[in-house]
Amino acid sequence: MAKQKIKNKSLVNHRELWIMLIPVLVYFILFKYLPMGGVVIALQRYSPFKGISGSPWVGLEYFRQFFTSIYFWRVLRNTLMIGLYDLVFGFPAPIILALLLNGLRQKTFKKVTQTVTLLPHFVSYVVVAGIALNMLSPSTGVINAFRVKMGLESIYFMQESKYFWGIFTIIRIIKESGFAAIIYLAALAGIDPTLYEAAHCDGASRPQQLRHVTLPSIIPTIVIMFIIKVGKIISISFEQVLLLQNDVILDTSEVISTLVYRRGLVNADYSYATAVGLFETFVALVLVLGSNALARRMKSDSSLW
Amino acid sequence: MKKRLLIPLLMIAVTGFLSAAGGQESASSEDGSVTLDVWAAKAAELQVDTASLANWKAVEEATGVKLNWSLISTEVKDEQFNLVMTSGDLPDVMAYYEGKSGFSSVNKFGIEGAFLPLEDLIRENAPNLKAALLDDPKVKEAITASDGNIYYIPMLSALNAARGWYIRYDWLEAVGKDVPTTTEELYDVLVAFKNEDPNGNGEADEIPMVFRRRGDDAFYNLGALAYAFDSDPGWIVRNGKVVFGPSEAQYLDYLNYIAKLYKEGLIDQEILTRAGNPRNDLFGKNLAGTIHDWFASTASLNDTLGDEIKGFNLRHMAPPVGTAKEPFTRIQMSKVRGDGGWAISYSNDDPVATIKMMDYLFSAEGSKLMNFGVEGETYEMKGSVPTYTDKITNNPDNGFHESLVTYGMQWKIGMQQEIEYEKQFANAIATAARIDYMDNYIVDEFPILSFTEDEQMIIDDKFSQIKLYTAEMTARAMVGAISPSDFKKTFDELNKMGLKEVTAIYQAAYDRKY
Repeated sequence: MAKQKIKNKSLVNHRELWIMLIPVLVYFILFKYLPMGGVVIALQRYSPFKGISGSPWVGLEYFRQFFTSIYFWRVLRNTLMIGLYDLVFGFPAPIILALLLNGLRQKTFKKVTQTVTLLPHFVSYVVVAGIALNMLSPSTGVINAFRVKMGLESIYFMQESKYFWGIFTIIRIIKESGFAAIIYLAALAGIDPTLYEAAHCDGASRPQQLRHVTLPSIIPTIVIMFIIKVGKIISISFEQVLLLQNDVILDTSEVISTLVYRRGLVNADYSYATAVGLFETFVALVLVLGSNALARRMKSDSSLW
Repeated sequence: MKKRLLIPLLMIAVTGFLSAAGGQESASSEDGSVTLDVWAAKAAELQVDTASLANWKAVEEATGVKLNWSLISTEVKDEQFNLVMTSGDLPDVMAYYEGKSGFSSVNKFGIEGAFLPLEDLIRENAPNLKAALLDDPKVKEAITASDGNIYYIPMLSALNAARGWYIRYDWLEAVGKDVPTTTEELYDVLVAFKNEDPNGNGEADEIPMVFRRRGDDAFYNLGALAYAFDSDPGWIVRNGKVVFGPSEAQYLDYLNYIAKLYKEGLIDQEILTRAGNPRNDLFGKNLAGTIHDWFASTASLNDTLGDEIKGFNLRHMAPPVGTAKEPFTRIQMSKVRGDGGWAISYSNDDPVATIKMMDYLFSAEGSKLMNFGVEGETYEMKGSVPTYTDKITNNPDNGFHESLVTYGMQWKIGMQQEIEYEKQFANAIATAARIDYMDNYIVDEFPILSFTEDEQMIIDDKFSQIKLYTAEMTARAMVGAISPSDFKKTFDELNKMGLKEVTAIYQAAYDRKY
């Protein structure tokens, strides 16, 4: 009896916490774990009217189709390169933004800046892509108007394959940095102010404080965010690319997810799309495990698990 | 997972309600006449007195079926339909459509058992419907639901012309040129549009030729220029042989032509990236000279822009001819209108009388009642042509179409729109264009083929890549990223991608059908 009581203590004492956990569990079971059963359609020639039980099995046929497609290497390269651009340029951007915001003394200016950088996150990609296409237009875009004023030639940015990765990354940085900076700002707010006082007493200048106090304090956050980011580099959501894409620049802009969209949704080829999606997930898993192992080797307390 | 649960639940709900509601509908009186409750949508601003509609009285006399209409305002028809469906208390006949997606809800609920499958009913009782719907493979294909059944009788359009060429007649006058008929004349006109300032603002800002894309298909309209060179952006049949247009030599002629136009700035330079509606935008700014687009909406620019832009006169022209023998287009639309038709409910007690009534509307006599109403009232015969009277053409209360509706005609039900109606209908520019295209230029399109599952598998794999590759290379050739002669290499590439195999499959499917 006594033992039982102790066991239940955590359940009783923290029941609000346990109750708060329920929606999360339900969400994950309902939307993440149950649908996993559906991946078997990657091995079938699936028809929604026959259902999973009635659709014929085709083995690895759809995987073969994907790997032998002339587009396989192209979409893999583009996906990884766009992901890499995003990692190299997109990942540090919110950290720098957070550090800059954190360094601001003037409160109103800080708040206004934070709001302005945060807002693009809430604008739909359809609108963002429309604005970007207009700004980059050779005839009516501001960027080319500026170039012409400067005596330079106007460039049709969206029709030259070499610009696509850069443009895509810049748009992502402008749109998402403000939102991603929030988590770093929270980490920065959590730093013990006595550390700064001590550093100040020891005569550390502000750059030195940044290097020896601020950065070490948020390194665990940065590492965890990095691991999560690495897992996502391969899954570029299709609409972001599709909205900026056109036939002329397909050689740098076609990625795995747009291929899945074309085959899966436009052609209603669910099984093929599932097979490719499964491949995408597999690569992401390898990347996450790899970066986690790396983080654990470097600094044991900041890996995910 | 979730969906698989939902559908059986819905089915149970719907059929449960249906069995509860059955029996109280369609009262047959003793003299054999039948009364049917009909649910239909109607624009809210129109006053329709359903008790005094002469043409529907005539239908009642001819068929013995009395219709008891409930006319729902079009603004709330979608939610009303959903309410009726969930309540389960279905009227005998429902005329419900959903704008763009047409009859998908009717088909969906039909599959779940809410509406009767009609094919056997039609074969046994309705010769006119059989001729109009079942014997026309294109119509039949368009109205067949995914389970192979037909759940509604559609409204059929008389015109199959969809899209065609339009050009600014006032600009032609300004530069002193005639309507171009060949690709060379068209080129000259476009050059003149570009250089001679037809909009008269002193700047060379004219974009001689503009196109709208559809989704990411940039060649949705531009591709019509291929016909000028007897080529085609898709599949075609030549003497019984199925061929993929872009794999033929004359596709290069088309590519050379569009590359030349693009290079000289005659085609909108931003055709691949322009957002929004470049047609309304560029014509609205008085910058565009010619376009290939939908007839009705393009012709309506004359109404919307006529006041703003002095002399604005956008008229259709024949498809230009290059190396082809004569002007033609393969672009056309299905006769089945997505926004009209009706279905018979599960709870209808007398489906045979109902289908016979629907069949009558497709007879010569019934069709006239639906298109022109009652002779001497809404139309008179001039020679052999039924002609609308002042009640329709010159009604003080309503416009042309609205008058027809208030007199019980041209409702969104299963009926056949007659060509004479189209000819007498308001926007003369669009109708003239459509009739001209229909009479003179439209040739058969590539038929809809059906494939076996194994064939479909190869098509999904190989042809989807071939299609994407062709679009990519065509776009690159147009903007000059590759020269059209480089495109020749595409032919080899296409063969490597399995074009021969795919063509053989199309050929086999074609041979099975014809």
